[in-house]
Amino acid sequence: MELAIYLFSALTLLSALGVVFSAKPLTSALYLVLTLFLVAVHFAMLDAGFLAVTQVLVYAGAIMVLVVFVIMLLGVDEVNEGRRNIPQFVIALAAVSVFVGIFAGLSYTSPLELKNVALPEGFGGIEGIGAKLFCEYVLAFELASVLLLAAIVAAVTLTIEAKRPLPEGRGLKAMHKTKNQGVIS
Amino acid sequence: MELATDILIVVLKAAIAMGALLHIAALTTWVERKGSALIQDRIGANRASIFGFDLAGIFNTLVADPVKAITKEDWLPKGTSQFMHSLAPFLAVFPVLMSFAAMPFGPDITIAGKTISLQLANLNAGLLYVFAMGSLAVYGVVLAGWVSNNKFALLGGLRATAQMISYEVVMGLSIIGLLAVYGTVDLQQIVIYQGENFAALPIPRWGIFLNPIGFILFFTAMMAETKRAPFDLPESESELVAGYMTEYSGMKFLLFWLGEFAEIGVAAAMITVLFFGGWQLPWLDVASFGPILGGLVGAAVFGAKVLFFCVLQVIIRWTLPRFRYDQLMNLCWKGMLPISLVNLMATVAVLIAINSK
Repeated sequence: MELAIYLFSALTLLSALGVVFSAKPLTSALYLVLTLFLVAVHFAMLDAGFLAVTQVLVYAGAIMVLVVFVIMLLGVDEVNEGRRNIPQFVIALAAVSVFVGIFAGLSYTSPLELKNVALPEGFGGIEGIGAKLFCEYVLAFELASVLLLAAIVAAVTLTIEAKRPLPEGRGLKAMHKTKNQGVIS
Repeated sequence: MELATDILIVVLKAAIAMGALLHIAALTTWVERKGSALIQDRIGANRASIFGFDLAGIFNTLVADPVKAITKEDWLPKGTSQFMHSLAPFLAVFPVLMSFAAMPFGPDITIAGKTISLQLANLNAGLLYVFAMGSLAVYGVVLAGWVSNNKFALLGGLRATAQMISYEVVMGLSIIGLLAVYGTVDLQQIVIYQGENFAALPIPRWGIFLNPIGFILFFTAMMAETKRAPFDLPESESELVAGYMTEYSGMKFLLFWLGEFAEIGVAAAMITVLFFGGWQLPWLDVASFGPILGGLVGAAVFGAKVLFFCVLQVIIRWTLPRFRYDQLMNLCWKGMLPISLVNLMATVAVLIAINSK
């Protein structure tokens, strides 16, 4: 099944390039969803079924939905760059070639030996990951959730606005009161 | 030769599963039109007829409507991406159809010495796969709202997204207690678990008896997830024209429609598999009917239960008034989420108490 591996790797790389080179942010976000979906396919090809499904469920299905939501709320449209930035392009090209050079050098000097290991029973299922996560690494698991909670609380604290008290009464009188109040009440 | 038979079996199972879901969706459309007419004390659609037979509106809903939709002009917007306009209905329908792949239709059947499982994809994490596909269905809605270049559609799309991702949380949390009892997320194993009776009482171990509050929470969350009334603000016909579907006409609109009714079918299938025994009959062993007949009986039982819950969802839709948006969000985060957490703790406490005896 190497053909499948090559095909999906090519698709993943193409859609990742689509993320980088898209004109509109929404198209980039949708290409990223496709990339994450293809990464889940890679997981499935490596017999990690639970990880594949969780990748789609959490990453492509929840996190990216919120990213798309924010893009639509902000109404960010196509970024008009203007002229091309040639020095930036040259530097980026140099950085990418250094990266590719390091990878190529590593793969030729110490080639990976893929051994055919017999997978244990129930590999990639929910029981194995659950046992490790909740028995051995339960402290790290709980700390990670506390970290996420801290991030949420920090985000809300930074962006919340104190409410101005509403004026008494309803209708036109209250409306006129707020009109003359100004920003600092 | 082995490979050819395997491929043939998979293709047949795919055709049957997808065909079943599409038929359920089409039938539910007809049930919706005629059933809503009965509930609202009117006649409903009955004008289209062939040779004078109008079959209580089936020709109108299932023949005339699709023909009309297919032959309509395929309208594309001018100011936004036309490709994304065509992509959005696809993204709304595709995950829903895919999620039916993990549903178990019946017990394993044996034909000519070959054991075939009546489940299109025998996944270890089948339930999570259905949730994953459900969370992908949000993209069609939000993309349709954005690309329509229409403020009302955008509002409908954003509201729908917020509602769907909120109720996904409740949907997941309400089942965890039940999954602790079942001990697995494999849908076929869950159905097999519900075949036996309780240790103390002579009733089958269906999920509804194990966790009734979880059933109410899950049913409500599923109806909110599929944007069915009383949670149908995204497509509220009286407020936002047609919500995120406003700028869609013809077959694309029918694709959204089909996706919604297929989601009703998937929701009904999930409820029967998790809470009502799936393809099991109470006090009877379906597999004991015979190698092939057992599978057919199981599939028939599953289909009957799914249709019952589809009709139930249609009845609920035409009975209850719509939620206001803040009421909807308050219900999710301040009402159902605490109740589902308490439900989880209570179920686990009872499990620990039973297992430590």
